[in-house]
Amino acid sequence: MLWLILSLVIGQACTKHGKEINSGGPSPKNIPAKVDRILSLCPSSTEIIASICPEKLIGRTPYCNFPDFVEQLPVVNNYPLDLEGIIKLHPDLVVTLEGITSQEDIKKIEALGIPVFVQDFRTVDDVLNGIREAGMVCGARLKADLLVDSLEKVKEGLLNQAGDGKCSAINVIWNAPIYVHGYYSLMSDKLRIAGFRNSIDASFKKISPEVSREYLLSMNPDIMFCGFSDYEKEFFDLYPELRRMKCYQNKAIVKISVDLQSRPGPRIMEAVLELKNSFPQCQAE
Amino acid sequence: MSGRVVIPVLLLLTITLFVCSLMIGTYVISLHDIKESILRFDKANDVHYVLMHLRLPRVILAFLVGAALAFSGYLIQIMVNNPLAEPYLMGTASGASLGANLVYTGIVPFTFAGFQMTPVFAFAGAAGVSLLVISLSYEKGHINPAKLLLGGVALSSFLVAVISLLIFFSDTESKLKAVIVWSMGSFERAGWDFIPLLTITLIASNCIFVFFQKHLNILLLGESRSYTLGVKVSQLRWFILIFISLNTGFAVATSGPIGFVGLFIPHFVRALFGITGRFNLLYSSWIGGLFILGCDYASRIAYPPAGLPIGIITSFLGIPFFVYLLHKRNYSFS
Repeated sequence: MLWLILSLVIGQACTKHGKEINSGGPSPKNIPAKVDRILSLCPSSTEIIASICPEKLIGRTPYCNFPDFVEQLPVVNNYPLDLEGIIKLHPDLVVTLEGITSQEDIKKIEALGIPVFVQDFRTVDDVLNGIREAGMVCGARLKADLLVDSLEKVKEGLLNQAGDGKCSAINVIWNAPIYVHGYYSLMSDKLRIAGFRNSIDASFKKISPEVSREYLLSMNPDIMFCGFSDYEKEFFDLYPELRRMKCYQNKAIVKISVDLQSRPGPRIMEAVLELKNSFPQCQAE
Repeated sequence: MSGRVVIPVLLLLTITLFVCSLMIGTYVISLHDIKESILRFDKANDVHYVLMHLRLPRVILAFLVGAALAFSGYLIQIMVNNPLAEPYLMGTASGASLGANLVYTGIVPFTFAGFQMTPVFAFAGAAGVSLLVISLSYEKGHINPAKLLLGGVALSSFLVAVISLLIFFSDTESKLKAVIVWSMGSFERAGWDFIPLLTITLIASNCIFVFFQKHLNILLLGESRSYTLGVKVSQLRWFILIFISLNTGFAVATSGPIGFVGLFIPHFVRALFGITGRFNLLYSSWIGGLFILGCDYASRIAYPPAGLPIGIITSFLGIPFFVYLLHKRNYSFS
């Protein structure tokens, strides 16, 4: 829904100008001033480019499935990297996310004379700035600014509604071993904006640390988010001891949309809203 | 080394390591808590619950797995008369890894009828591959040790290729991590349901083979001389293989493949008590259990609270000592 509203707002803004708006502003290093053919090697990059300059997107990875129209685009494998597929598409620019494409692969692409635009997001603000930056790169600065301005308004509204983080939450990524989103993850920031507090403390430096059953019992979160289709079978049957946690006792376990939550892009506030709306009782009065 | 000296030392080490392992973790647990939870267990008390349902099964499992692997390592080295032999020689680890990978990559569900499928498939894989290697080495009613070694190596390589294929097609980073972490071994998922089968198998194996120690020592002299001395080599090898398969299968199914202990501990025991020591098998089990217990403790100190994968610690702690043993002592296998 949020996606639809934002698209309408942006669409309206662009129509007012009657032509494509080029930013003309500064671009990140080594990026050509004019970019017409963009290949995305990461689903979240695909969503960002599709939201601000869809006509320039010429290829995607097998995992890119949003928005719907990207599924019509040619597919280039990102792991292992399909170098031939990249050459065939003749992109002016390849966009990806830190950690998704290896340094070795980036060097291979750059050796072909194709610049690579790598983004790195640790917080929601990083994502919003990243969208602005992508707007500058693909020559749609105003469109990107409009999108980000509207997202920032949503964020401010959510922060005003957010409580003092009295409810603690965890997001379980995987069950064996147990991987959760750590203190320094983007999820932590999303939880904060949604009015929760990540149960995982700062002692874990990793973005998605492995935690023990004992640690989870000691943290005893109020809410558990996960992507399991059947958390009883896929998680609690494996670890019956964790049924002692408050979240299980109070039936405060929510299945979240994995695609939506794992892709830092224009749907970031939709992801925060999904978290927030699952437990309105944790918000400020 | 005399048993009069060794047994009290081992007993003291066992008690110390058990108690220290019970005290380390996210919850601060004192000696008093341990005593209280044993004497007056209160299910509602978090500390008691953690101690009895998480730490105690973990500590016991670590000991049992170490014991089972060292026991199997001792037997297989004698059976194939090769100091490089280790319990996973028959492809047990690869078979178990394939079974576990089938679960982790989503081909098999995690649970079925309330049972965790990872240990079930890991054991099925380990047992299946062991049987296949044994049948490959079967020759006119005998087990051919050379064929057993080669069959194990060949089948392991094939299974590694199948596992690599599964890993290659795993579609998420988390699945990949799960497979990698499992392949390094861990006691994090230990529970009471893992304990009984391994305990029974290990105790039964030790009880039986302590009576066969003499036969095992004769087997070190080679096949033909063993026949001459009245040992029924073929039957003894079958017997050894069955118990190795069971011990290794259960160990790898519960904690993943833990390398090195099955290779190193038997040599350590021989260096301490002599090549033909009467209770070498029992000491192998005991010291193997203590070694893994110590490694698990060290792993939790090194990287709290989850602990490092146990396979990393066994190599870090074991290999320098093993190298020292090979250089400083006048040790030889036969």
